[in-house]
Amino acid sequence: MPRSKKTVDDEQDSVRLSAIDEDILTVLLGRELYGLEILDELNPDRPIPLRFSSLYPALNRLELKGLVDWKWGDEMDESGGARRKYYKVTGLGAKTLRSVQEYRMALMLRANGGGLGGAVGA
Amino acid sequence: MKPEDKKCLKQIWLGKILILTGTIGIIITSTIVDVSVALNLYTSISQRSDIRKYSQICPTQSPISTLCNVFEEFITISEKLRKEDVYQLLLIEFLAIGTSFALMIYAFPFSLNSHKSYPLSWSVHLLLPEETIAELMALKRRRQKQNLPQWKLNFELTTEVLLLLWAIHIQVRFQNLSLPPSKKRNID
Repeated sequence: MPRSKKTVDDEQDSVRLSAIDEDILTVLLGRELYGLEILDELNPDRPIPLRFSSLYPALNRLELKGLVDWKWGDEMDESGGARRKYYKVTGLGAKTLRSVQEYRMALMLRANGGGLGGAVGA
Repeated sequence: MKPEDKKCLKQIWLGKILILTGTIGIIITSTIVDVSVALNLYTSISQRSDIRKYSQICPTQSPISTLCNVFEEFITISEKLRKEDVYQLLLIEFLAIGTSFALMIYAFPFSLNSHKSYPLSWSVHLLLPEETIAELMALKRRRQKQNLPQWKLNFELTTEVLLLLWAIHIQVRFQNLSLPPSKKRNID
């Protein structure tokens, strides 16, 4: 039975994103990456570099909220036979991220508009 | 995975099980001993108070009073014996704890050093999930390619391992209390 629009909206409304969560979702949008690659993408421009110890709790949080999903990679010789997890954004994750980005964009436009308006008014 | 790697992992799991058994052993033994000590003390205290009650009711020279005195003496002697039992039980508890502790100490290096040819980072398999091991190994390879001094490499990896231990075993567990349970995945 398909879920009503209200239920989906409620689910989306209840999802809250921290700054780290948002960064990770942005990096993962449209591609599959493993932990070290996520750090490589995030850290060059980040004022406080992320470590594995911050990344894994964030990924676990995002997974439990249904915003990211993962699959096992192949066994690698260079990692001693251990497998990597490849993470990707789910539909809900993409939707949530988009709504947060739209909100930020609207906020920025409003702030710029307000600034100009103030300048004109003065 | 290579067969020798599987064998190594099996031994690591054996180590894990031994450690777990040791810990459970400590908990069960301590609980049993504590409960039996508490029951012993409770019984002796209640018996003594009963006898005293009877001896106070009876006249001083009556045969029942004499019988009560005999009983009290008997209780005193049995209390002494019980105390010895308690000491014995405590001794058993200490022995059990000591054995479990020794087992844990023995199990740990056994599982770590069973295959000397493997890098030390294999030992972290005992404590960290597979994906984090893969990431740490990849990081290690990358740093080795950068020709970093060995001490710096070791320091960085040790820091990462310690922080990951904290994050995965404590931070994530607390965090999960306020999050919905994991959904069934169909990505695999």
